[in-house]
Amino acid sequence: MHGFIIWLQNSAIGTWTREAFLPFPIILSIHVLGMALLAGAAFASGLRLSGFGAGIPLAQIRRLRPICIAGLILIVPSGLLLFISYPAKAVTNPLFYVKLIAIGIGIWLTWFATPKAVDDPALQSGPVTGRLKLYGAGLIAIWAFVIIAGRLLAYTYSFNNILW
Amino acid sequence: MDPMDRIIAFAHRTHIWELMNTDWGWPIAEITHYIGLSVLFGTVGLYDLRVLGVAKGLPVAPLGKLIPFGVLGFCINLVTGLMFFVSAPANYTYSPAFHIKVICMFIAGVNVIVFYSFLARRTNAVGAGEDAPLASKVVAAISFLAWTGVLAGGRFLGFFKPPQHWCEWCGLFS
Repeated sequence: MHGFIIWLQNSAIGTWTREAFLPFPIILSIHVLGMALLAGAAFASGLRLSGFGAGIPLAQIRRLRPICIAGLILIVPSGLLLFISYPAKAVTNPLFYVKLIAIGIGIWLTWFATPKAVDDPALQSGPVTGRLKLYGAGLIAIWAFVIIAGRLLAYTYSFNNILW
Repeated sequence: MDPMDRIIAFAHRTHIWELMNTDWGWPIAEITHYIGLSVLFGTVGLYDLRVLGVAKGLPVAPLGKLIPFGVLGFCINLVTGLMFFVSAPANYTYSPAFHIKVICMFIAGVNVIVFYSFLARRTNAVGAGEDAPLASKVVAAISFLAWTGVLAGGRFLGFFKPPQHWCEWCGLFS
């Protein structure tokens, strides 16, 4: 593990993204745009399930999936490149694992649990029920948590690219 | 007095500088800024994408009801953004990334005025499964690209902290 992290960090790609001038901010911009699409689509669903934007058909909420997919297509490769640039910084920070687990929960809630919950025909018409509001609040909370954790990674690390 | 010093003096007078230089001031403002931008993309950006033909099964008008949340997100980011700016004005004033960010914000602003003056009613009449008019699509594309430019400009900011002499056109304003 130790050796692998050092190898990754000193790989040609890791060195290039870390030390050249343009790649890092470009990768970060792509990562944040993906975040805005994925978390943004989840926030929109969360708002709808909380009772806002009432005319948006609940059964059609899964139409936002292509936006989530586009978000993930931007996030995952850029995230891997960020990881390769500073692998030691990531793996030594407990918050990094917390963020990954939160993303897993977020994807499960957005992709599986929420569409299943809105499929209940009894919920299709009329005002949003308490149970759906809970899903809405959950969607907003989990993706806000992912953003908080991600942003804090820049402040909570104990190793940068220093070999320990 | 140098304009940068004046801005810093303002930040001290209002205690914004002290707040932003506590251990958690800057990170919390950044977190808020990121959540604000996600809300903006999830509402205004979602509306733009629908007008462009993504998630076509959704009618346009009800998506518009989420736009006030996008306005809220923008206002939150204007406040947090100004807190960053007044706490380190030279990092922004002389940075090409910041100039691009502000130009993109200006384009997005003009675009909003054009949309509400000429296109909002026609665009909101687009129902589930229907195509938006070309003019609406053009405005939606400009909106999405301009906000993406604002986002990328912000992300580049941390990487250029150029001294004043890097900015050839900055002298024009002082």
